[in-house]
Amino acid sequence: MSNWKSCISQNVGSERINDLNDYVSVNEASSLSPIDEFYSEMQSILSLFPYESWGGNTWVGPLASIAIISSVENYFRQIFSKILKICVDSQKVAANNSINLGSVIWHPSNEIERGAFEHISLASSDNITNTAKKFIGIDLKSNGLGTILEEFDKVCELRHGIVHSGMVVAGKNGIKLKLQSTNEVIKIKIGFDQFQEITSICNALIVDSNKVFFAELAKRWATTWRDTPGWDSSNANSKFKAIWTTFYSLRDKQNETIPEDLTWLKCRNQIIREFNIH
Amino acid sequence: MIDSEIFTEQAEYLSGSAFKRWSISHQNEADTLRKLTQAGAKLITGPRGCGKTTLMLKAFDKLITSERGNGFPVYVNFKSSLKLEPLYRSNTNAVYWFNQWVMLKVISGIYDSLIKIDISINVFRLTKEQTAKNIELLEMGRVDLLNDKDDQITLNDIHSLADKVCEISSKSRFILLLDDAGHAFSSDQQKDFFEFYRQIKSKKISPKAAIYPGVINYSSSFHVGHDAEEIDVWVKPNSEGYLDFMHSLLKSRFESKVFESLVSEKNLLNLMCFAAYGIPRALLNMISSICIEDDDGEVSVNLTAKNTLKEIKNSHDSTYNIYDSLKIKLPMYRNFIDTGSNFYEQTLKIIKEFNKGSEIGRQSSIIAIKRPVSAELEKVIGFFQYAGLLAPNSISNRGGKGVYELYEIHYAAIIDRNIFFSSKAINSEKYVEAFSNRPNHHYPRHLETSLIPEDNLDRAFSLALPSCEVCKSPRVSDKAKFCMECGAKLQDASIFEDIVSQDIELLPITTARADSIKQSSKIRKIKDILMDYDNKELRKVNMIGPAWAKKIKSYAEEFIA
Repeated sequence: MSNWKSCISQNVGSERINDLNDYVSVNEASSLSPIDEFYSEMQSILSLFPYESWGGNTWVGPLASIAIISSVENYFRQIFSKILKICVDSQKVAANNSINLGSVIWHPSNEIERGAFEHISLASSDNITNTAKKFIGIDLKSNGLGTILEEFDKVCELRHGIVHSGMVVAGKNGIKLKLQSTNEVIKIKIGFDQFQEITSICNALIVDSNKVFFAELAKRWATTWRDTPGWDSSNANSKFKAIWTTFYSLRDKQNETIPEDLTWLKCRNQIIREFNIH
Repeated sequence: MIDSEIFTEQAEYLSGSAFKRWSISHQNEADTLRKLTQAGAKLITGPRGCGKTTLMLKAFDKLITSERGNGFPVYVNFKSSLKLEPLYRSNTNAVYWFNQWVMLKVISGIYDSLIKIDISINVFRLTKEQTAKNIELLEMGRVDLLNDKDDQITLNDIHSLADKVCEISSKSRFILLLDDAGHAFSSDQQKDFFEFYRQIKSKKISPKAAIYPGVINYSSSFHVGHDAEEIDVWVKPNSEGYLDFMHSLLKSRFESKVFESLVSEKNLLNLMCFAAYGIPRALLNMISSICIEDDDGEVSVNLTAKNTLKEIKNSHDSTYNIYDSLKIKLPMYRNFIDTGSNFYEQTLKIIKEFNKGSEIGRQSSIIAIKRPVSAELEKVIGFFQYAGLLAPNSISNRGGKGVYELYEIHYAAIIDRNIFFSSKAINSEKYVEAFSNRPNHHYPRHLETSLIPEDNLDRAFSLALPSCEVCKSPRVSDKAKFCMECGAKLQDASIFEDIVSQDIELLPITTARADSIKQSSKIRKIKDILMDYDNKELRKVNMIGPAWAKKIKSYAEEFIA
């Protein structure tokens, strides 16, 4: 007697992941600053989808876009953890937050700060701004990033449809994007031009956030850090150097795209003058 | 004695009394003014110099002097909006700052209107002087100096302010007259401006904006017709009463003796009026060139056939220069503009051939282009419309033979290139008669391909895109924002910086004058004139008094407008 349960599709056999180790690789921690790492990932993604590959398969744009958004998330995770590592004020702000035990067990001791942000999705402007406030004590919106964060949110709503529903725009996302609702299914369509816009928004968010974080940490170095009992003025330079290397883009320096091309020492001196440090 | 303002062609540069004395009734003026002074969002459109500002200022004047009217008028000129364009290249919050600038300009306009009705109180947390200062800071790109909370303006502030000034002035409606809106060369600013326009309109606030045809990019949520009614204010040279309108313009500007001598050569005068193609500014320019002032200050006109044709040629050349100057202003479209020049010449040739042997009432000035017209040619036609050399006429549906878009050629080009009759010399009488009797449905019909002589259309319409500054790889498309090779952000040149870095020789001044300015002052580039506070540098130059300094400054402002 035939099995009616098999009358609707093919049969499949036993499938498994043979060796999970094949799915991961051990890499040395990057020596690049988070912004340079973002640039590097962006270059890889751009070169993976050359101009000629656009226009055929509708998945090219969405895949390229989620790759870029993933790099944005990674930047924020990296920069938040690096800031936590070097900034006493951030450590104080972050002290009230909890961390998953799994993160503590998993990460080597010198990467433990990264664990603090593992349970948070950073693919929305609200999550980025809340995390920056709760862990670093910086309000990104009041630091002039409101407009670009709004644009990034639009990108994140699109991402939601790509990742969770095969490019179909969900009702919640459609409403947030103020799209016209129809009786038909609305699918996300990302061509070369739209992908370039998305990349540009992500790039602008990273570059400007990096500047805001740098300015705030430099200010704290010049002011509040010095008021803490553990401050040792003989370490002032090395502390500043740590800030500098966290935020400085060697790639932008190499491309000659930094408008104010200062060395870390000249920059430090300008800050000293501005904050009247003796 | 000649009035120093008599040849000021732009309404915004005329003093109030001269404006009232010299502006004459536009055709359909009553209807347009009614729409500009009553409720409702409107867009008035027309080529450069067709009288949009005049109508705006008349609407303002009508409302501000009317005791019975119920609209409080605010006139704002956005001519200098391109100064904000560099911010779009360097600041992620450029949209925000542009909006701040637009709202500050509105507040400044409110203060100006209040002064006109003798109310000099601070109606907003920023005084008139602080508002002016903040506008200046934004135009200089110094957004870092505008971070005080008090400096930040919201749309709600403008709505509350509108309520407040309406209450103070006992008016029920707030009429916002936004001149030179949506800069022709900055599509980002255009979109942001129309987003502001859409958001500011309310039951109380009625925005009216003057825009150029053919070059406007509205924001995705702005829909002409739904968000605003479009009113074409260009006086068509084939409309009834056209010559009377142009004559009355001259009569209001010149003393009767001068006007009489112009009218005594009626055919030549009418030929000039037609050559002005509905643009009062163009007619004033031509007439000013044939006016002579003797030692006693007596003005006479030298209206001969030779001079008339010479001035018409100059007028056509200067209109054509507006088109050609787009190569400097929009360098990315350099190839489009070159291809457009060939299209223009080819069109003139075709119409001339078509008119050969036809009688006076059958001389055409129109070309019909079969649909579909490519996006590239539409772009070029948009540039011609902006300059005023081509005007969309109508659409001709020939059933199975296709649909044609009709475009009319500027009449100065028709005369300058002797497109009618194909006789050796121009007969002004016959030309005037031909212009006065336009044929219906009589024009050459062509496909786009026969109007563009180039073999390789891809090359003819290729965008002149700068390569990657880092690795020198060519850009793959005009929409590319990153180099596909090295991943570097591609730099878009600032249109404003490009324009103001041009030599002052590009302004409509003689080479001798440009040389003397360079010799006697620090001024070299257009930027130097724009930044010359109180025209101090310009005034150092021999033979440049206050009037000329003001005029040269206005040329520089017009160059970026």
